[in-house]
Amino acid sequence: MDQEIKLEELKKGNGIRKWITGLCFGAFGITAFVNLADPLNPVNLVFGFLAGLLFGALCKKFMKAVLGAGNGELKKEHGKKSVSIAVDRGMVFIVPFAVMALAASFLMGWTITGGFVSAGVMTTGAMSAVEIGKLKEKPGMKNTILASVTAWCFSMLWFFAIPFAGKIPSYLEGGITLLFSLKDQILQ
Amino acid sequence: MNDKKPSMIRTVFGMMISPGPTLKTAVSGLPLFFSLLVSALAFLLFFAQTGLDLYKTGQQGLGFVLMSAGAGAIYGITVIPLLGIVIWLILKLAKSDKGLGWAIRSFCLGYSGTLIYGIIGMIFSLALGWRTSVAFGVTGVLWATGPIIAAIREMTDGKTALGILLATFAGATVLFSWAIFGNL
Repeated sequence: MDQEIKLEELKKGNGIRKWITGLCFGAFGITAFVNLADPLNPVNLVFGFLAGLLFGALCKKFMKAVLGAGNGELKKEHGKKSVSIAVDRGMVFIVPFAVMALAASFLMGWTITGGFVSAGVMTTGAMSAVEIGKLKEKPGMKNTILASVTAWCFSMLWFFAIPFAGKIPSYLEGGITLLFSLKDQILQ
Repeated sequence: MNDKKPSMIRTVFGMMISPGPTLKTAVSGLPLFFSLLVSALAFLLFFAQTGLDLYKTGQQGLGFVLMSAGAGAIYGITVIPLLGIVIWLILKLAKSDKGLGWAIRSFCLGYSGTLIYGIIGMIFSLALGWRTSVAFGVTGVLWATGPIIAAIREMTDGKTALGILLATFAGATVLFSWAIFGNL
């Protein structure tokens, strides 16, 4: 009964937490693709935001899957969604890193913000493990290790994927310009 | 009663990897000077690497590297405990029952990750000639955000929003004051 109350308590505000986390990952994407010579370029902003959202969604999915697989007993005891809720609670700790990354990009003019993503993802992994630990009598180190390994994989993914993905906005912009010039030629 | 004193090395690694349990068990048993030593060394190495990076690009001389290391040590002994005091005062209004000593100790120890990153960065800087202040130094400072969130949560009985807000303030203060130093 106590545990049911605990889970209900943890569930409160989950929707808003998901929104905040999504926005933060979107912000990471913006800082990764921003062109400081033209910081409000809509193609870079939109593409960056979407890339960040996609990365964040993947990261959360994997974190939930890995921690869910390692906590079968907990899911039986507290219900299927218990691990997912705990991960959502842990993920909200991405906020300080996203705010600092935005400030670093737009106020300080820093171009490399991968460190913010890496540290942020590692921290949210650790905090997710802490949140799962709250539902257990003996939290142990297993969840911390599982979450840290998953988070490390995703921080590496960010470092390796961004240089490739960074080329897409310019190709996209070039493609759109080409389409418009073709349209103009056809109309003429 | 458990009279065993917490191991200092284990506390440093514990604060980096799993700050929540370390704060609960080890912080109150450690002397204040050890916590101050951790933050002083962490920022000494971080600022020294900034100086070394500027030395390698020919923008500054060797004297600046030594001055940076000294400034870092002073920063670690003064600014970080001061941040701890400011946040402790704010949290006093939120009815935190933790003492000032605990707050300063946990804030300074929060930079254990910065110290470990600083040591590794310094090895890469001196042995391989890499420029490490951003890759290792900034990453180390960002790593401290997690332990600081954990410390604030410990002081507020798990209040998430306040923890996030104050950790953002602390992280941004350290990072941007370093950036100003780098541009001097």
